[in-house]
Amino acid sequence: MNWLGAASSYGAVVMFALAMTPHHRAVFRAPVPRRRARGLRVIGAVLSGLAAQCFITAQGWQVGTVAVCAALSAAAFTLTLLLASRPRWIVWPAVVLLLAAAGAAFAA
Amino acid sequence: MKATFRHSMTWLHTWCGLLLGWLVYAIFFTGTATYFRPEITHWMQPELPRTVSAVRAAQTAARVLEEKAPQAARWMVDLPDARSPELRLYWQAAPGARFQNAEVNPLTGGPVTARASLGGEFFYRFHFQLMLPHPWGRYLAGVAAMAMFVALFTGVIAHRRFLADLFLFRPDRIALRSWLDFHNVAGVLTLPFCAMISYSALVIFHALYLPWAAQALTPPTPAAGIATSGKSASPNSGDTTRPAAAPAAPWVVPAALGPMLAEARQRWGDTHFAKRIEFVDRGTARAAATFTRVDGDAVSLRRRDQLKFDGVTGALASSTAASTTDGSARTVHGTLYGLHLARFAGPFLRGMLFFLGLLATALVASGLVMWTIKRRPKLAAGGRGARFGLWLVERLNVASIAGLPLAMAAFFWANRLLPLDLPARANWEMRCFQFAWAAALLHAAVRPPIRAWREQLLAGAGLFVALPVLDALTAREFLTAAGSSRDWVYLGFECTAVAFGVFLAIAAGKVGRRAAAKPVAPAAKVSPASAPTAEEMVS
Repeated sequence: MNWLGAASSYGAVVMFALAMTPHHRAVFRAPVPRRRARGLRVIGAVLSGLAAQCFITAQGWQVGTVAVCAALSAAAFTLTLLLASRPRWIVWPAVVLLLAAAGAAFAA
Repeated sequence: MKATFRHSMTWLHTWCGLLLGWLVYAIFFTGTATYFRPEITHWMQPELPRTVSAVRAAQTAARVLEEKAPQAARWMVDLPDARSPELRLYWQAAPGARFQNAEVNPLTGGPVTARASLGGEFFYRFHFQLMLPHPWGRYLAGVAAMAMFVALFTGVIAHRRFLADLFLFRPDRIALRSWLDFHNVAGVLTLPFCAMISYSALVIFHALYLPWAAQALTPPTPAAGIATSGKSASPNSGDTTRPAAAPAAPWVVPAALGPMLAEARQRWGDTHFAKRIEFVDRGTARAAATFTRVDGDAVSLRRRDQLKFDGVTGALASSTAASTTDGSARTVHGTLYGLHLARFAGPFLRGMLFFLGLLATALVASGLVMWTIKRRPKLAAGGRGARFGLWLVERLNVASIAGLPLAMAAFFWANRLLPLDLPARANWEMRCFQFAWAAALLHAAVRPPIRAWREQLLAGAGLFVALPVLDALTAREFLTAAGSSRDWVYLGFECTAVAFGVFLAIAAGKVGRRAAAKPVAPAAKVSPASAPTAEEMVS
């Protein structure tokens, strides 16, 4: 559950970043349309909620709340470094991580 | 410059950050290391077993205390847990007397047979005591925490594009712009962490920093220890305000710990046993023993399971957490204290907090470096005072930012190189840390700044990367044992040291390259080149 939480946190910050034109442009070579930006933000919010839910399930609501804040901060910094060096690489780790972590969580 | 609110806040941010930045940097760095205090100790005292049964240790503790201090008014036992094998006993001959303490072998009750070393405890103590006499280190740490808190909020106000630049870092821009990007990103992303850490740091010692409310509210007692309420996790937390028992009262024979241990074990089991046992008012009719369980899934330090026994009959009196009788102030204090210490964190969360701690340390360091990059052209061309200011800040930056990791590495090297039978060995380790740091300051004072940066970063990198080699040469049996038993704590320490060394080496390489490409970043050209994002602190 912790890993699914971490993967969702990373996915969430990727969505928030892609909803911003400079980062969207760096990845997809085009500015982000308004409706798409809104959609990405909604997915980001849903993924943040999912991350919170995962950590709270795994560690209780008190420690889980601390964990989701820490995970979002850490994921956002990792994303920042990727955006600065390899912007086109930011999306696939999110997909792979989410699928792998979800598989592991449901298999367990 | 127009004196707007934002400009005033930027000014405050700059100077508050500069004057206390070096101190805050050292406190954050050593505090971050403290997240792995028992793990560092495990590497520095490899003779100790990795884990010990808490129940077994408690039985030993009961026996040793019965021999050593049968007539003591108060006993306290810190038991081993999953992360630390240490068994430490404290006892107080009479109420208000000084605590005595001993670390004993949890299996035999005899003395501990490991090399004398403070281990991770050194970083823990340094990060709020700063090797100064009590209570000056704590005061200074409080000033630093306050400065950090002020710098955070003034920084938020000074940062104009808080959300728009949330993920923006452009390492390929000119030096000042890249540093500012990094400072902004690190600051915004660690804002919740830094705010929590610096505010809780102030709250932990509230009774030391703001003693007047407690003084006004509690009736004066002869041995009133006003600064004790904020230290409930430390052995000297003993509340010395407890009224002394009548000296002439006859000794009431206290109940034995053994049956209480059995009861606690029956309720809690072996794996999640007590972390602390406290037996107060021994010898009086009010005697009481409290078993406090190892931190579970609660953040607050006060929300831990407790078993309270009558200290005369040995009967179980209550089995609720300390927090059930707490008022709101105590609840807030316990929660913030718990957040700061992060004892609740498992390996995963601990790793993330460690990462955030390093990032916050880098945030402070980047702020200090930026001060010099931004002002170098102007100050270097200025009068004597301006040139001296630049000289001083540049030197102190090198000695603190690059010198501290060097000193920490020297501390680890001393642990492996000092003879095992050296008298006051643990003190010598600390002295090596101090000597190395002083040498870094001296070196920074005599070398040109860029060279000093490079040389100190490279020296630190070398010492950290070579740590496993040193270990293989001086403590081969422990390294082999750790390898064959897959002791990931021991090996993880060495991997972290190597990774950190590599990071320092990369930093040293970057210093050289930047210096070769652009010796001086002309600050005046920055604003127009990268407008509209480069305003504020640049202008």
